[in-house]
Amino acid sequence: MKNIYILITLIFSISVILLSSCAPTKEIAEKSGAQLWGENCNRCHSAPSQDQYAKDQWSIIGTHMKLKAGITNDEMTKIVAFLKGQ
Amino acid sequence: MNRTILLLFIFTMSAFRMYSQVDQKESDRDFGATKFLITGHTTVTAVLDSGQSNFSDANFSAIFLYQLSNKLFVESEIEMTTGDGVVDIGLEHANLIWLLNDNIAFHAGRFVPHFGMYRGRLAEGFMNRFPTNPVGFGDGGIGTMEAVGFGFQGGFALGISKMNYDLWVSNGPELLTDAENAGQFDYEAYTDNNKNKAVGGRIGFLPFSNSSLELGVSYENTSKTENQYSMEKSIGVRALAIDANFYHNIPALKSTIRLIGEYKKQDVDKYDYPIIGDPNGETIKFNNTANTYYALASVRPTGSDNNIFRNFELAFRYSKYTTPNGAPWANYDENGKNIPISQTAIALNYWLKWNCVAKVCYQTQTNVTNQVYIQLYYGF
Repeated sequence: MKNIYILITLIFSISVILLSSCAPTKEIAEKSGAQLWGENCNRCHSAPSQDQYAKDQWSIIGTHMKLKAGITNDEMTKIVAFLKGQ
Repeated sequence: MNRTILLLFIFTMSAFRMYSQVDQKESDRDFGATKFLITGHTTVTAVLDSGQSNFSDANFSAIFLYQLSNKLFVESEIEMTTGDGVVDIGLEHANLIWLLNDNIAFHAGRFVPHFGMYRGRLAEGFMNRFPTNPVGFGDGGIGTMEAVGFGFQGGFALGISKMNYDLWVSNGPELLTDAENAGQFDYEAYTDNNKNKAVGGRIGFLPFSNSSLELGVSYENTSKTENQYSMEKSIGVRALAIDANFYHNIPALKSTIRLIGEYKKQDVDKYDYPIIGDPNGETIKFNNTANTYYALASVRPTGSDNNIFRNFELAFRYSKYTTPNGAPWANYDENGKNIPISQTAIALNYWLKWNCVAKVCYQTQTNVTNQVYIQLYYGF
């Protein structure tokens, strides 16, 4: 059973490193923060408006949601910039 | 198991080194700029049926979020509930996160594993369209709830698609052996009852470029769940979850529809549970496998020009929990036959704000009086 754990761990680790090197398509990479905000927030709940939190707080919310919902770092960066009004 | 942990640690260090140059620059720029936010939610629920009309539960949760630098983050939640007639204060989670790079975050502490999508995410009151849990998804249900341990999680793009993952090693569930709960598990223990660890994870896949569909599969294995010194053999448990979450805006209806479903299965090693004090030495023995699922559909006229009408949402949910035949806590009819617990719920919600909602729900459930729930949920 231990060997299975190790095998799974190795496969998973290598997969993450390889897959994370895959780039998004140009269409995806060029999406605006506003578009990503609408698409990703609505996966689970209504999208909050920009005035719900202060600019500094949006950075914290962004990291929290990156962890909670598994959004990509690029998406989080763009969404937070949009919510900050940048 | 120690080798597994060692490998995970080596993997962490290797991944960190790959991005160390970038990390150093960001760290130099922002380290020390601690940011802090308290969010959370408060809830009050009323239950009405033929025998009662009570405000049954008032809960308050505070979520503390600390961003210590671009790489270090802390999440903690304190929950106060009154459902059992007394104020119960609990540490829901206290999780220390180290963002190793854009795609990998290491976390350690007490956390909510993404085992399935409901417990790890959608059970939150402003995501759950109902004031109740589907059967088999709440307390006494299938799969891990809170865990103490460490893990890795992240998300990354794959062309037009995306993937996310959460992999963890934790203390694991504790087997209950008393006559009333034999074969069930305590998923919320703060400390471990043996040396063994649970290993689990979830992989999510979002195939469409607009992120409207997410599919996930989760698995957790614990090879020993009983007290370290209490039994001769190891009682293992394996749990599987498959989930799907889809939403779509339909311009013709000026509405957003949402379809969610999840299936979970749990398989526990056989064991004869002794009945303490029984003069004949009787034991409780049964095939301890269980499964549960739920399906949810909701519609909200988000595109309506009417400011009031577009805040309403209508939701329907069906769930079914098949408990193990022979288990003392399983569901039996008057003839002693094991029957699945089914639950049907319909809710009409009014959204006061993106994270504040008033819910009215009518629910029927096997062996339970039909009930009406009224709930007010405020997120902040």
